[in-house]
Formats: sequence, structure tokens, C-alpha cells
Amino acid sequence: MRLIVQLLFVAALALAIGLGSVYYATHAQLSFITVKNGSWYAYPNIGKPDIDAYTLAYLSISGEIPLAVVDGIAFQSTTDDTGRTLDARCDYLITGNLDAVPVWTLSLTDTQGRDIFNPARRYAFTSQEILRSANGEIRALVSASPKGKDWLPAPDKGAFTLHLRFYDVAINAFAENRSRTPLPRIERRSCE
Amino acid sequence: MMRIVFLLLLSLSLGGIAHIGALMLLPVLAPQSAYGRIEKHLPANRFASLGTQQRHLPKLDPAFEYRFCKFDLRDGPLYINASMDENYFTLAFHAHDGGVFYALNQRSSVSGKMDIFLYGPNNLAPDRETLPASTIVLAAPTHVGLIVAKAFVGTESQRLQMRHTVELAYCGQDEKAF
Repeated sequence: MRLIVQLLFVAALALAIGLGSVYYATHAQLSFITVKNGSWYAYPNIGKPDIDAYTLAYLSISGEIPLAVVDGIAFQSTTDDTGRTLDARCDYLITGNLDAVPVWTLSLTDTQGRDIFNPARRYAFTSQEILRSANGEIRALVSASPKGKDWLPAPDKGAFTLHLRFYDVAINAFAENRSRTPLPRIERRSCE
Repeated sequence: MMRIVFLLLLSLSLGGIAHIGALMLLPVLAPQSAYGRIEKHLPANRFASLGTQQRHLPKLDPAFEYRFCKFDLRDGPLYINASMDENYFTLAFHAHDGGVFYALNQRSSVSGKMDIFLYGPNNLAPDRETLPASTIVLAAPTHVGLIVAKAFVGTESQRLQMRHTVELAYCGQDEKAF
């Protein structure tokens, strides 16, 4: 009897360790499968034919359609530059220079990656429509209430995720661990 | 005491095996992969829009128009082609676990066209002589998977035009498609 209890204990603990560690490795944005650039992160191997086992495990759970390497790279961010979680009660100013990227988009989803309906039906900014200052800087404002031309609607409440996707570009310039081109800053402005 | 240490060490090493097993099994089962999420909403071996079912796919870029071809190569190889202008357009081939095995964008097109011959593990390799010279011959690693055609919608006013561009993409068994 004692042996059976011990074997069950060993089996349960082994499963918890094995599955828990896989869950952790695929959800915690660990540094060995992600690259970070400012508050943005991306999975550099996700669009490669020789994808690594951990990124593939992440992919088969997340259900997203990854961008192929020749297509581009998708960055996401759940925090501002100081590490605070993106919160719909606040406004965020996104500034940076993306002149090196031929095609890019900036969009917003909930933390599960789903689009959030907004009455303006505005879900993304693209490289073709955003205004640039004389030095090529973009200034996009993420806010729950309409503000200016380059405004991306945020939900009424809750946390959200920003997505910055680069297309038609060599991903290494942005995703290598050394000498990376900086990505746009995410600065928290006023909060309700 | 020794027995508890032994049991913990045993759990840890079995946990390592479970870890590796889960890592290897996840992509094989992959019920939550993109393919698993949308296969029942798509016809086999032709391009279709997902319409509102597109919501099953997280993190799709809203600034693109999409068409999806669920391929099943057990019935034979497929012919895929697309026509495009200079706007940004890609064709990506995904195995059923979601991983990419091939992709190309409009830069690789030959005068605005892409012709691809896709064959699976059970199909005979094609006779190159019978295919137009510009055809890309591609071996799929799995019988089933997804082909995703997408066109960049730079401004909302281009959306209809780009939808039309992705609708020109063909996926099917008709060799006259080339």
C-alpha cells in the first residue's frame, strides 16, 4: 500500500514538473526563444523552417499564423518603457523612426491576441498612412478617446497588447542580440 | 529520509522525460494550432475566406486581406498560383502544427505571377519537363496544412482592391491553372 502511494506521488510530481516546465517555457517569454528590444519582444525562430522545439510548442498552443522569415517579424509589447503593464485607462505616446522599414503596421489586441471592436473601426496604422515629422519620426497616440490624426483606439478598460510588425525586411537588424536598431518608445501619458 | 530524497530525485528525472515527451507531442497533436482551429471552417484544396471565423485566429494583422487554402495531399499534388501587382503580397505554406515550411513575397514573382507545384510525402515527385519553367516545385513535409495568401492594405481605401488581389489566388488539382 505504501509503495503504491509513493509511486502515485512520484508520477504526479513528475507530470507536474514536466508539463509545468513546458507551460512555463512556452508562456514566459524566456530569453532563449525570444529577443527583446526596448519593451518589445519577438520570437526570432517562429517563421523559420528549422524552428526550435520550444518555439514550435508555443506555436502549436498559441494558434497564431507566424510571419515567415521572408515575410517579416512581429514584435509585441505588454508594457510601457518603464515596465508598467499597458492599461486602457491611460494614454500612451509611441514615438520612433521607422524609415528603415518599407512596410510596417502598428495594431492593438487584448492580451489573448484578439481584436477589440471599436466604433471608429480603426484597428491598425500602416507605414502608408501615418504622418511623419520632418526628421521622419512617427507619433502615434493610443487612447480610449479620440485624439488627433494618428490615434489608435484603446479599449475602455483592461490590459492590452501592442503589435508592431515589420514586413519585407531583413529581420536580423531588429532581432539580433547585438547592435540592434532601436524600436519605437512607449511612453505613458495621463491616466484617468 | 534517504527514501524521500530518492523519491524526489526519481520524480525530477521522470519529470524531465515528461518535459521532453510533451515538447515532442504538442506539435504532433496540435489541437490548438492555427490549422486545428480553422480546419472545420475551410473546404479542402481550394482558397476561401474565413469571414467572421477569422476571429479564431489570434494575432492576425488587421492591415491585411487573407485567403486560406487547407491542403490535403493524400488525393494528389496541388497547383497553386497567384497574380499580383507591386503591392506587398505573400504566400506562406504552413504544416499542420503551424510552422512555416516555405514562403515567398511579390518580389519573387515572375512578371506578377507565382506558380507553385506542391506535392506531399506520398506523391511522386513531378516531371519538371511538364511544368512551365518558372514553376516552383515544393515538397510538403506533411499531408495536410495551410496555405495563406495575404495582401497588404496600406490605407483603408485600398481594401477592396487588395481583397480582389487575394481572390485571384488559385489552389487546386487543375493543372491548367498554370
